Amino acid sequence: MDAAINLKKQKRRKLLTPYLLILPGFLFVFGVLGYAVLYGTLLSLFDMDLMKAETGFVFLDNYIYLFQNAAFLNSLVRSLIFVFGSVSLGLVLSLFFALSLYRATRFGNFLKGLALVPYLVSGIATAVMFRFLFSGDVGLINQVLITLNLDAVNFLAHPNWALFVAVLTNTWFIVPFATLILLSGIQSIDPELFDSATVDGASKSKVLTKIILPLISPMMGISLVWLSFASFNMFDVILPLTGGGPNRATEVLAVYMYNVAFDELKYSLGSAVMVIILIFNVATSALYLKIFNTDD
Amino acid sequence: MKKKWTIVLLMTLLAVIMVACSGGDVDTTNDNEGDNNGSDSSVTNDEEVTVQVWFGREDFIPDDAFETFHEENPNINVEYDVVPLEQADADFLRNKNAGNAPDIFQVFHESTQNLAAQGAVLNMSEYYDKWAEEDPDSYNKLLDQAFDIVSYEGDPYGLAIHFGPYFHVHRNDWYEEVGLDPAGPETWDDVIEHSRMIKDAGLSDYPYATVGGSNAPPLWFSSMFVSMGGEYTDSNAPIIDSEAGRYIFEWHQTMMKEELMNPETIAWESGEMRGGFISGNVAYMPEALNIYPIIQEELNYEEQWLPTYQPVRSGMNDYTPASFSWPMLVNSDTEHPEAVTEVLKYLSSEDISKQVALRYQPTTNEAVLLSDEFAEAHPWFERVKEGFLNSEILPSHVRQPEIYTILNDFKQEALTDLEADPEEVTKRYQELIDEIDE
Amino acid sequence: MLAKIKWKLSEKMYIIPLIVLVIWTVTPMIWAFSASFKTKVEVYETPPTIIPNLMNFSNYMTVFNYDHFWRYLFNSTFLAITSTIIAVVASILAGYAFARYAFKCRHLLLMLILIPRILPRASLIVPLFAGISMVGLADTYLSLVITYTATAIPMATWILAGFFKVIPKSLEEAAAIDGAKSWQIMWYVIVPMSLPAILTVSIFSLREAWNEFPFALAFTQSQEMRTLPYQLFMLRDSMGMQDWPVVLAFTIVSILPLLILYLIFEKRVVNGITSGAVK
Repeated sequence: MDAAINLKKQKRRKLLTPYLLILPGFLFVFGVLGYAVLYGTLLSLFDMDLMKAETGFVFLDNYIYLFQNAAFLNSLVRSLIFVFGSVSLGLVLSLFFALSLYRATRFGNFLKGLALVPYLVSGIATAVMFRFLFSGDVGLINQVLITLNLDAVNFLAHPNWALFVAVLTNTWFIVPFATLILLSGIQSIDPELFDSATVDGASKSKVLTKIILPLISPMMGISLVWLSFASFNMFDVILPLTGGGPNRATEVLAVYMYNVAFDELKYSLGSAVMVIILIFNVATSALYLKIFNTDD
Repeated sequence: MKKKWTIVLLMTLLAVIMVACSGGDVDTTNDNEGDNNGSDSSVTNDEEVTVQVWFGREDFIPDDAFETFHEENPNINVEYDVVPLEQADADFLRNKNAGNAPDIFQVFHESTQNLAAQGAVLNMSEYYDKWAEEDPDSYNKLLDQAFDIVSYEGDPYGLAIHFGPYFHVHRNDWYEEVGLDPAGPETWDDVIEHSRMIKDAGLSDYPYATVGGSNAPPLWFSSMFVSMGGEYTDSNAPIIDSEAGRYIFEWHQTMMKEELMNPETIAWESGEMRGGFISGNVAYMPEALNIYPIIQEELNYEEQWLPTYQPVRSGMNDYTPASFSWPMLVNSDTEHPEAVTEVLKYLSSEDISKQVALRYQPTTNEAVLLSDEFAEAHPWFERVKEGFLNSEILPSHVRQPEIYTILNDFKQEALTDLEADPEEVTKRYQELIDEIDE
Repeated sequence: MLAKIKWKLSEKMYIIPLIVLVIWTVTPMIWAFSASFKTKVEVYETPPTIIPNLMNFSNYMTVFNYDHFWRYLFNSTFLAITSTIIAVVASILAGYAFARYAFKCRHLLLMLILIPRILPRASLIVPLFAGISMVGLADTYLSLVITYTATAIPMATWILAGFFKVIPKSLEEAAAIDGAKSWQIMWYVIVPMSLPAILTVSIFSLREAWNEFPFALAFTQSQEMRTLPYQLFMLRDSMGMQDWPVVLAFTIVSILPLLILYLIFEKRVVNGITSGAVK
């Protein structure tokens, strides 16, 4: 009788344990971030504006306004270009880096360590360094061009060049992590597969396309998710680098949102932009996970 | 199994304790909130009151850190902090909603109109009347601008202790070299023509420097607009669809087309413009008094550079220089307006504001501006004194941030779309401004 | 013959991406590092000098002598360490639960915890500030510790859960037979076994807090509360004139502490990531 009750108690405890274990973490995450998402979503249905005294419920007006607003639509387009550019450049670079790091024997560990370094630099510091690299009069790039008797390019003054520099800076910042994720995928492939493939006389490109790529596709999915979120949300890098200019050429969604919420103090409109970014992010990640089928 | 529970509890507790410990280090400003609530609004009794002040830059803090003030007013305790001007208005409003905003805070002058319109700041008329009556000596030393800058519909909502008009500096040594009158350009057309001569003489690749970046507010641009005869509506919106609006657009187009301005101008913030002038790469920039000491470190005043008023549009005779300011505003929720007035009196007093004026920004205290020490610290002041004393604040709209966004877009279009028709562009941007100004 | 050369070439081809990798990674930092020793004027010289004419440390002295500089350094360090400890403890617990217990909604919860991760941090400022000031935490360390911890937990939980899963269960079972209590198993078996993963997670979390900018910008006002990245951002405005060497010296100073820490543990961190812990 007693034993039975004890057993029941134990069983209940055993059932509760995992929930207790995850409780502290979930309290933090949902107490802070979950709250922010919910409150932000709610806020986007009002017209809270620090420049105005009263606030009212406006339902979807903020969203309707946004999709009719040239500046927002511009920043949406700029964001898509920026994300597409960063993701494609980032994926190509990280794949190349990962493949060659896998092959590297001498200095292999050193190079792997070096590859991750940019990941540890803050976005602000990255932006400062790249602005210094590309600015007109003091930048290394232009000084090299001039030394080579080529024309200097005003990278930050020309809309397309500025967007290109922003993509490059962002890529520098986000590639390291993607590289190591891909590397982990390649390393987990059974080396015997390579050997048998080489014995069978498969060419290098065949090995790559027929063995490596399919096998690391889950890892590709994860690095794609990482690359595109980091780019979609990028703010720390662009604000000090170009401030969204010239002519709003680098005003991606996160920067647009910052300007709306913190320069013009339209909090609700800013929150509406947040919701839109969130929807984009969820949609892209669902898409990637579907394509690359990362079940585990 | 009981142990498992305990360990979970312990670990959670540990986390909580660590959070709490970090809380122990929390800044004390919040703790003082309690003092405010408890005390009475009158200063005449012996009860101690606390006045919280946010300065927008560290340089605005008086040298003695309120020591003399505390000696003179033993019952008023001033606590101050530095909240950057760039975020002061937003931080103030957010903290005000939460009930812990400071009594006095410093903002860019453009914020005044909006804060007053939404009732977030306090009308100081009655306290200033008392001040004028009780201590006319100190009150009368202040220029009218001290009160005008912070006025909304005729009433002051704070005090503008420091301000400065935009002037213009040029390289008079280069002017002499190319055979021009070293006194400098008189009109903006002169600037174009003289720039060409300076460029042709190989003295500078890009003679004119200004701030074209989208991160910087269009302050320099607006001061230029005023000097070109630009006007504002009664509600302080710029009238771009005008002679001046078309001229400023065309002027920038011309300067860019002929490469008289650096092709990177559109990415420039004030630091790059100033760096260009100070390092001897450009011939002109539109800058104010506070930068001159930095110029002086590298270039010799009167031998290499001179300050003048901004040039005017051809056909105009003169203009009133436009100034900008970083006024102190008073929280409408303050419980000690008398104590606040004392703090403002102290900050604007001759002794205290002189300290700041000698090393940083000029003041609205006329006695300081006319003092020998000021003349010694700023030898160039003599040349622009009259314009300085008569300058008028750059008009700002209730929805100034949005106006600024439009002006910045307009400015950047002038720097990039060199073939655009000024007529069409100014009309287009005027419509955007009208939308906001309705 | 020709075919053989071609084959050899392609064999060595992987060197080229490696060279690109090194140049790509190092250039911005070397260039900034070298300029941080130059004078204001030397920065403008053509052709550029990689090794400064004269090693001058005055830019670093300027940085160290800034008012409150040591306070900013302390703030960054304190916030990074505190939030990392809390986040790692919470993540070990949660990660263990996800790895070892089959409970209801497990997969859903694991997905759910990742959602806040995909939000742009900047966009959380507005709603978070409202909440923070409502409970009177504006301008405090606590507001930053809590938010930094919250942003670090999701990824840390994922990494640790993935790592715990591959630890053979038999080890725990053996310990349990020996009479070890659950907490003992966790402390003496799981934690030591997963030190590389815990180290990786800690470095990530330190990195996140050390480099964080939008929250610090929004939730603090007073000067004593600023962190290094925040001050680096402010540096441009307050100086009046662009002084590249000083700005770059500050940049280097803000990067260095984390970089040194990383160099000490580099091998384990890299192994931690590449061994498949990150999923």
